[in-house]
Amino acid sequence: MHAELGLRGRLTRHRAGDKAEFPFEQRVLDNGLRVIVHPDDSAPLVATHLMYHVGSRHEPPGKRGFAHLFEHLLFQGSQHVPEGEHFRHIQAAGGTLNGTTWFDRTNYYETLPSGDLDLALWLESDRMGYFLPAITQEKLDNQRDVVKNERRQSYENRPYGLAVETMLARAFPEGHPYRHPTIGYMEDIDAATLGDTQEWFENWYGPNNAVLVISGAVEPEHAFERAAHWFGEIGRRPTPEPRPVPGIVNGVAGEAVIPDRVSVPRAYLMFHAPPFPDPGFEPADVLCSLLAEGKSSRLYRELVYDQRIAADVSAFVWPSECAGMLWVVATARPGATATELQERVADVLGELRASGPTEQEIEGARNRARRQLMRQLDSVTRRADLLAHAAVLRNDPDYINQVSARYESITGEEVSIAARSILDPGRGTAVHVVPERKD
Amino acid sequence: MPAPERTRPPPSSPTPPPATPRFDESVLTGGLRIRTARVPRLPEVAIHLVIDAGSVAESAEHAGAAALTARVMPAGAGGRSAMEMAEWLDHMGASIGSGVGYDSARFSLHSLSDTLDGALDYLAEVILSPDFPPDEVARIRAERIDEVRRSFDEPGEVAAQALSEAIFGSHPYGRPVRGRLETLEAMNSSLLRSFRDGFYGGDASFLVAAGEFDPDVFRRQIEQRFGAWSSAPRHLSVEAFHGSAVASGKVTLIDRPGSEQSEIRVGAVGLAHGHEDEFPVLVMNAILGGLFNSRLNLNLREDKGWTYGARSGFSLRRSPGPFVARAAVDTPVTARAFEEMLSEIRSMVVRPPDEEEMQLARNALILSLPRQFETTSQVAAKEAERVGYGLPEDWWERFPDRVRKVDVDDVVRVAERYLDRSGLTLVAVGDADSVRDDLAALGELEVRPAP
Repeated sequence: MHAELGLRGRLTRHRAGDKAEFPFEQRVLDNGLRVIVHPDDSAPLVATHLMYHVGSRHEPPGKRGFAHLFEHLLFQGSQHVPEGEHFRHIQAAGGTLNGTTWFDRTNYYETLPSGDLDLALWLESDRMGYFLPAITQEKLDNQRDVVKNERRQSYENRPYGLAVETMLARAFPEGHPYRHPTIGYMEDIDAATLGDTQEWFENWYGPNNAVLVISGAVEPEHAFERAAHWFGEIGRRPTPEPRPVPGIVNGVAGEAVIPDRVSVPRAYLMFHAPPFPDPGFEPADVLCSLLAEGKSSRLYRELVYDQRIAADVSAFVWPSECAGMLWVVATARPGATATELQERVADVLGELRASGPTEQEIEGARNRARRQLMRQLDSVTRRADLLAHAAVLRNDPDYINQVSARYESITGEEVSIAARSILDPGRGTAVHVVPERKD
Repeated sequence: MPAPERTRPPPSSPTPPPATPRFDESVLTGGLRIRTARVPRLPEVAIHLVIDAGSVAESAEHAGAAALTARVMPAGAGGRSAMEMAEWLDHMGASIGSGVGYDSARFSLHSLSDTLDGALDYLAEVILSPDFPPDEVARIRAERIDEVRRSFDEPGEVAAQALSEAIFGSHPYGRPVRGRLETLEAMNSSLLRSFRDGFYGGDASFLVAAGEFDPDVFRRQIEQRFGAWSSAPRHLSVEAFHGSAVASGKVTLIDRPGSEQSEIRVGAVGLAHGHEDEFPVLVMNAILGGLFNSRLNLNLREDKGWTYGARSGFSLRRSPGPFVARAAVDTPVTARAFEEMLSEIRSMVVRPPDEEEMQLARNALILSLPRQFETTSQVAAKEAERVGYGLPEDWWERFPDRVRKVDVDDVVRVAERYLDRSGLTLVAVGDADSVRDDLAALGELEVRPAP
């Protein structure tokens, strides 16, 4: 079967100057696979990143956690790659690899010496094209156990580990696709079958539902040719319409309380916020930096430094696709209660909404956000990650070249608007984790 | 276009060797060594200032002093209050972290290139003119005490600390770097100041910088600020720990009622960074538990499904650090998981690696080097590691050859030397009612309540 290289994508040519800018080219194979190549020969490395536009929000009722369990299964071999060989090949080449699952997408990525591009493409294309003949009940049962142990280790046996899923279940209504965590729940993980596996693969793992990013010391023409060579023969598959995601504006009054094996309480607040593709996302991010990044930030100064009721406080936005979430999390010092923390946070947010940030604060928050961007852009692996997210969730890979300027351009007015619209007490939902009573 | 050949892995094309940035050295009159490399990738600079003032420098009754000193130093310096220092740093967008380990204290500064000059002013104030305001010392001491208490909530942290003690006993490597509740309570401004004044000095330090900057200008900037930094009156020294783990052959169980999993650890005394056995040990550990496809992980995770992951590693320090094998396992299989772990450790001797395992380990170690030198931050951190452990200048250049030379006999020899059953100690944190009886079969069992 032949694969014709399709659309000629935009080619951005920029020289790396004091604004880091990154050339890339995008083409779409006949089978719908979007391929993005970002050449950078500063190190003899190549990063490949294959992102499927499917995550936990696509899971039907009773299958919570399946997207993530499926991600584990995809490392268990495919028709031409025996079980265990996937990791072995990458590690034997000196590479690294992983896969992650999130509400909106599942990604698989590897970074290798630049001469091993074909190895990554062979492995990724084999599981995109030839996964089903290799899956067995035994592999499913083994990875089901591994995933249940992941849930025990990272959630159930970890202090505060159940707060996030409790928040999601509280803040999103019944039937909302963000209502459950990607790790899922034990009963649904137990219920997964081989039939589910086949259905998930056929529905969501076609080339037309994926973006492949190749970044590093490669010639773009060569990279496109190799991508077409390995992936071109895989047929397009019909992809179902995902469940619609209703916009949620209002929070839930009161708070959920989780007793846990912890020595001090922690308050989690979550506000519905602009999602990653929305122009309000970056101001919300700068707002978080102004609130809780650095010891002079508003929440740190008030809760940790002046009032001394919190041991730490953080604020962050999640780059989710359909509905954004801005989190404020504060851990109490001994003697303080979660309610006290929440009230004090509310005071600080109220003051900010009433009088807005100072120019000095905005400048500092912008500088911190710019410096953190360096961390997102400093390796071919992270740039592949950003390109893939921008392509899949924003349909705009060129975001990688705009993001620095976007952060530099954020004004106090934009942050004020973000504070007033997002930090409305009516949009927030609270979860408190408290020490369980010892009887 | 021919159909792809899928039945075997595609061949590699040649990969050019990485261009490892060259560091230039200069030494200030006070003794401070400065090593700089221009890495013109992004407009950022990564700096590590490393001082021979790790926790081994403190006495047992002052456990935690080294780490607390480094943490308090940015909280008030040169007459500026803690909040003024924070506002200064935050406005530049820079970040400073202090990482204190057993062997050294490290201040890591990450700055945008266009705010570097101010960031260096800030760093110099922190290092040369810390005020140790008593109220800030009290505040940060209280924060640290809270952290120690909260660490008791984390089963992995509880296991790590119990294992350090089971291996090193009262040697400084057996103490928690962050200190203990009772030692922290006693700390005050004058104690921290005298620790800083005793061990901090130009001749006990070096500075590594990498990033987008002009190295000549940078050296002058450092000279202006640190040129007069004098030598330290006291110099850290530590006796290497001798012999095998103090709790060899024993099992320590820390009761955490109701735990869904047990955190299990097998530990032993390892070796120092730069020791002649380092390369055989690296290869041996890669096969045992360093890689995803290691014997431990393939057995406990991929075969049994008892854990999300099992791995092992040697902490290479100035004097022999620990070997640790670890996993968080489903409670009912706790003792069996220990047995499998011990059996895989033993297997390094009784079932020597085949050529495929050797090749996998060697390649993973050698071919992964370019990945570890890609970013500005990595380049600076690797150089700080090399200099801090007194490793020779050609350490990374010779690394591949030295790995290639390791053969199966070397691997078996170091497995026998460092991982003999008689020198291993076991630690578990989990629900004692569920696992106590099974663990008693593995060695003399001591059950302790959670801290």
